[in-house]
Amino acid sequence: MAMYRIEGTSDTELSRIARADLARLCYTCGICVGDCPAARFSDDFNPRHIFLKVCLGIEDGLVGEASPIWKCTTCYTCYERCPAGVKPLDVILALRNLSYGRDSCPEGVKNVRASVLAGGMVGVPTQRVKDLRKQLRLPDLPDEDVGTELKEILGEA
Amino acid sequence: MKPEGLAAQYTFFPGCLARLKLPQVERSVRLALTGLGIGLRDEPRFTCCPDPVVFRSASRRDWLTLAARNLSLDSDLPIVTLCPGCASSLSEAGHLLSHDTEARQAAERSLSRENIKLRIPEVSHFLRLLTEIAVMEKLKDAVSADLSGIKVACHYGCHLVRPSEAVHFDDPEKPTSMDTLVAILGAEPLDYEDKYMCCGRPSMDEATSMAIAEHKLSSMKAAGCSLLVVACPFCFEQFDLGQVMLARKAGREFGIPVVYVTQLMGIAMGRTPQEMGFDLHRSKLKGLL
Repeated sequence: MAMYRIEGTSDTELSRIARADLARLCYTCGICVGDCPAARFSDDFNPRHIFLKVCLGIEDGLVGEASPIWKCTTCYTCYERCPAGVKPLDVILALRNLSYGRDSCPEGVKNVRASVLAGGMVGVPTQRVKDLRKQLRLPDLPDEDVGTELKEILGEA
Repeated sequence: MKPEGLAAQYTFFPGCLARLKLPQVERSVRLALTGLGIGLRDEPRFTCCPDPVVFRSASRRDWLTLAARNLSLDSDLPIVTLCPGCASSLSEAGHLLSHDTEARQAAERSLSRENIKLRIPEVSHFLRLLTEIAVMEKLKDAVSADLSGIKVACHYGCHLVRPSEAVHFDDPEKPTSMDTLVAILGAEPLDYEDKYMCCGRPSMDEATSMAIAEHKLSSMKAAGCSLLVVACPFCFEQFDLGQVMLARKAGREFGIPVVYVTQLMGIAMGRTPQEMGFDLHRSKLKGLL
């Protein structure tokens, strides 16, 4: 992944994450705000402000559980439209990854990760669903020990 | 589920939400595909894709590694998914693994711990297969029920068509495939305000998520819709369970029945609402189909 260096922009932990570094290309045109559902239906989510802050290396308020980044719906509308070549959703995901790394993120993120690494899926089947699957002649769910394989692959075994 | 003599053309990737909570939806997708001559194979080792929203929010690198594992499990067949999230996640992972040498080498190293050889098959959401012209011709001949007069609001959601650099299906901003399919089934597809907007579900802020859902449902209602049709299990839950939550918390009653596009196909092809499992939905059909 090429690293883009634009004079005057910062060199921070965030701006060094591959694809988050693309925020350096942002010229704050605001097209990412236009049809952003999270911007329209909440008070404090503004993708343009987020990318400008990342570009300038102002991390304050963007990393952690209280950050507005969790409001993003990941709809990819900005991703399709950005004329500067920023991959806006990847910048937000980088902020979320940093938050997770600092152990400051919504519980849901930790739970989903733990669930996948335990039994391979998000959630566990209830007896009712198991019965229903049998009744509808649907195949069995993956063996729960698949989690061991996943951890092995991630080097966490 | 495999009708006798139908050779497998795709490996079926069912994902988590439908497998764990909406078995009636999974069954309807399998019936729709095999009923139109598209043979499926199952891969019991498939795990979560992993989910491109929440799981990927923890670690993009781990997301790519586990997606690479799923992509590499089968021998030689392309993958067809039930869920647009899975299709988008696996397609995007495949795109990255094909274009980013460093990421590919890292994934190969990780997979080698379990002796898995990296493979990058083609991945499609089932709607791409159903809207191929030859398949739609077959579908036209198979329609036996009369759905005329049913005004359908199609909700496309996001990951079905985006990111277009990896997904390559329909128009990334103004898709038409589901409306075309609904018209072939004999129902009347509607235009409505903010038709292509997200359902709100993947936002991790409940107020934002519900505000978006309420806006979408209001706009469908204003256009006179009698049925909401989706092709994503998350959009399904957002509108089906979401209507119960909106009634409870905001006192807003919409009364819009929500069905999966393959359930509507089943009805059009002569199956009963009971066979399609509508009694398991929160939103009620009230004799509509």
